[in-house]
Amino acid sequence: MKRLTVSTALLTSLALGLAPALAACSGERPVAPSDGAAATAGASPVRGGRLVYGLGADAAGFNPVTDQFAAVSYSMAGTIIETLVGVTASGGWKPVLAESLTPSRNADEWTVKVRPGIAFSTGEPLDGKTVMANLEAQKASPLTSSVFTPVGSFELVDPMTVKVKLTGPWVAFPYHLASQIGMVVPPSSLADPEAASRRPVGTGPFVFKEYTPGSRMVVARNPSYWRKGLPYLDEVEFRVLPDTQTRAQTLEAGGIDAMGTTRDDDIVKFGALKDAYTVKRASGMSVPEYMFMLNTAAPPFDDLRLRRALAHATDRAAVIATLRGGLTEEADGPWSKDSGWYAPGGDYPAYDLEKAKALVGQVEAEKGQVSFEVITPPDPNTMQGIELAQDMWRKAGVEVRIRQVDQADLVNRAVTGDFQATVWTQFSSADPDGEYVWMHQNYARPVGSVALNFSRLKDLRLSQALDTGRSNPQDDVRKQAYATVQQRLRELVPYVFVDHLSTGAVIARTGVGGIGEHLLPDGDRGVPLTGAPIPYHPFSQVWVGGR
Amino acid sequence: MILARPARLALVLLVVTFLSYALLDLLPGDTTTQILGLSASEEARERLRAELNLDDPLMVRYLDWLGGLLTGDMGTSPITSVPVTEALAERLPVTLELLVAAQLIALGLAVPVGVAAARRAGRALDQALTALSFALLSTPVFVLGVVLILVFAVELRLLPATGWTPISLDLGWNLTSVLLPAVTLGCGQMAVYARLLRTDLIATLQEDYITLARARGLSPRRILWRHALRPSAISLVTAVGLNLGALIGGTVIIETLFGLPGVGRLIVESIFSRDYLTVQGGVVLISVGYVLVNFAVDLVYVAVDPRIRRA
Repeated sequence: MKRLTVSTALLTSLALGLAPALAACSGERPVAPSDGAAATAGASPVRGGRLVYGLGADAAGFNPVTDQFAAVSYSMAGTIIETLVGVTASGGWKPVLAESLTPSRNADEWTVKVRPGIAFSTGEPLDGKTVMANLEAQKASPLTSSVFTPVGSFELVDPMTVKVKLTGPWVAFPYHLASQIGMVVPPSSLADPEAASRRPVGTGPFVFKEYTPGSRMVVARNPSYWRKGLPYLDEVEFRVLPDTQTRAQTLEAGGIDAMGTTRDDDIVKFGALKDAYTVKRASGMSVPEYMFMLNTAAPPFDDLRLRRALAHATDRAAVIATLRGGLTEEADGPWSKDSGWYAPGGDYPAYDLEKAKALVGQVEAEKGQVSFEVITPPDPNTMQGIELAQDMWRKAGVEVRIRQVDQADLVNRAVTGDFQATVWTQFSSADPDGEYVWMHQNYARPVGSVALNFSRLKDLRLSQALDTGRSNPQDDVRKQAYATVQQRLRELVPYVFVDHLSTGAVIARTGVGGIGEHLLPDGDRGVPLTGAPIPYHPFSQVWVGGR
Repeated sequence: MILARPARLALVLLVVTFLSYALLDLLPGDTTTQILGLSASEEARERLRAELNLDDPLMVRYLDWLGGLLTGDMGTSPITSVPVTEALAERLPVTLELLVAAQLIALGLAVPVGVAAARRAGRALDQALTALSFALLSTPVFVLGVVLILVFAVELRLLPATGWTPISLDLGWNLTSVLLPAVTLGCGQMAVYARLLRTDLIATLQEDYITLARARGLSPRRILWRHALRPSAISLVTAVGLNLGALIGGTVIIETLFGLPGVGRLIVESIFSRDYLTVQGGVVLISVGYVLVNFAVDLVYVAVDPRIRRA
């Protein structure tokens, strides 16, 4: 009887806690009914349904003029706000909200003709005046004005045409209009930036429905979307799930239909379950490079021998085998071999411990013991990589201290040059010109000043090649220019490249179709996945089949 | 004594907010970089610094912020452009519900467990419950959370792994979404409470008045629940108040793990993005909450033990 009393108390207590929730729960969150039949990847698109999509972070606002856009911002706001230009699967650009973009003969003027018959979801028409107002707002914004440095002025040629007058030739200008600065919002959003930051409005396939900061955003089909037959989905819910492991568990548990990830564990695990999940990985120019960035304006890495010694001591294959499960490719420059811009040449220091030791010995003979500090954000995955590299570099005779700093501090140190070496991930622009400001010597400043060329490498040949790539319209000349850029980077080693970080991926259950398989308005295939570290993609041609 | 509380609250707030303001100021990193991004020019950064008064001395900025607070204005986040009070008001219900649910689960389990262990002190059940308590105490919440998700969401598919449904939207789904996080957060507290209650109950059961009650022929159950439990609950009530701080710390991890949009996560995200005003607002909220809960605990003492009222 006594035992019964205790058990009853325990059970009652448990039941009080669990019963209401269990009663309310059927194991799966209710979803809007789909009018499509069961479907799997590779089948025809199904109209209707609701997609729940897991993201690793929330956006810091949805106003492309005032808010800094990360990859998650493009996922969320990109369902509502469209860009003037899109990037194709082959790496070119094609108009989206623009009908055409035509350069002058030497590309120092671009005429942007706006696609007719498009309206914002508020009913406001899309016209040249609105496009010009957006471009002017972007040029005036402290957030994006640096990209517009080569832009002199804008002129409204006719109600649907805007002329962009540049201070010099800029052949890659349209690529920049495929990003945040090419997003077009209605005049009402420009007039009320705070409202636009919380309730985005655009011409896109979906309209804003609901947003709970830090939790979720829901967008619903735009019934008057200008691209006929799109979107397929009735609704998309973006759910913010910062913890990578629980995000993957939520996908397994059926709580979300798709998610972005950068974990090789997820790619391997879900990739093995081919019947249940599809894994799409970023490739080509969309893939950023994982590297150690060196401050070439401060000791000890103002000495080229030491920079080369560090690269010689870095066993990239070992890093990939240990940290990436063998999923990535070794990098020797900012562009991967499958990008179309990759060019061999230059003398990138291959792994050779003896050469590394010899170079370190030379430097030590002149300057004494070589030691430096490498900074890193404190997340466990990055720390593993740093510790592995520390071990490699120590074998070459270099003493390395690791300092953990948070992301904000790390970025600030990079900008002001307050570092010797840092772990770094960069270079995922659609066109090589997107990396201009990070590498050109005009953007290198002394340590202590704000500089966009964080490694502070000043090299005339490299900078001239970047200028040629920016200004020359001929493809072969541009290719040669960017081959020179890669060659100089390999010779001068401002970055110790490790790998092309192609572990950015989108994983979806097999009933979800169309991820990374979209067409641009004029019929060209769009770039499947873009952005880093977790890539993003449009949602207008995504659909859900069997659940 | 009770009348002195508001003055003490004001003093606590003053000290806590100033210290947090000063600590945040010492953090490396630049708010302007967080707002404008990597590609902003030095001129743009300088303009923004001036606009946000970031070049003013610390004390000037603090007093300016304090002046705003006294008029109910916690400022507007320079990162998200959202008023701090609005951001906190959006997140507070989530954290409050999580805290209350965790405490209810912890207390709801701790009382029967503590009573059962005290009644059979030293025997097998007591030893088993003691072992369970220590196991729960020594398991980090992020490990327990992942294990619970694996069992109840991935394997059994009984509960959602992550996500949040507000009460206003659907009560049933709200309870579903709060259950796993609350159990994760409450388990460690449950172990503490059960151990405290067990120890105090064992001591109380050896008091003279309990022996007298037994001699009068009262049933063991009546003695335990009517005469021993209440005077043994003082330490438990104290722990509930004091543990609020630990629980709030735990919510930071739990909210991140389960994707809950609560105050804890907001504060951590704000620290990383150098959003000083939001962090300050969060600090005020937690400080006020902590002092008020412990004030309430003092009042509960009186109800639990009449001797305190008489004293």
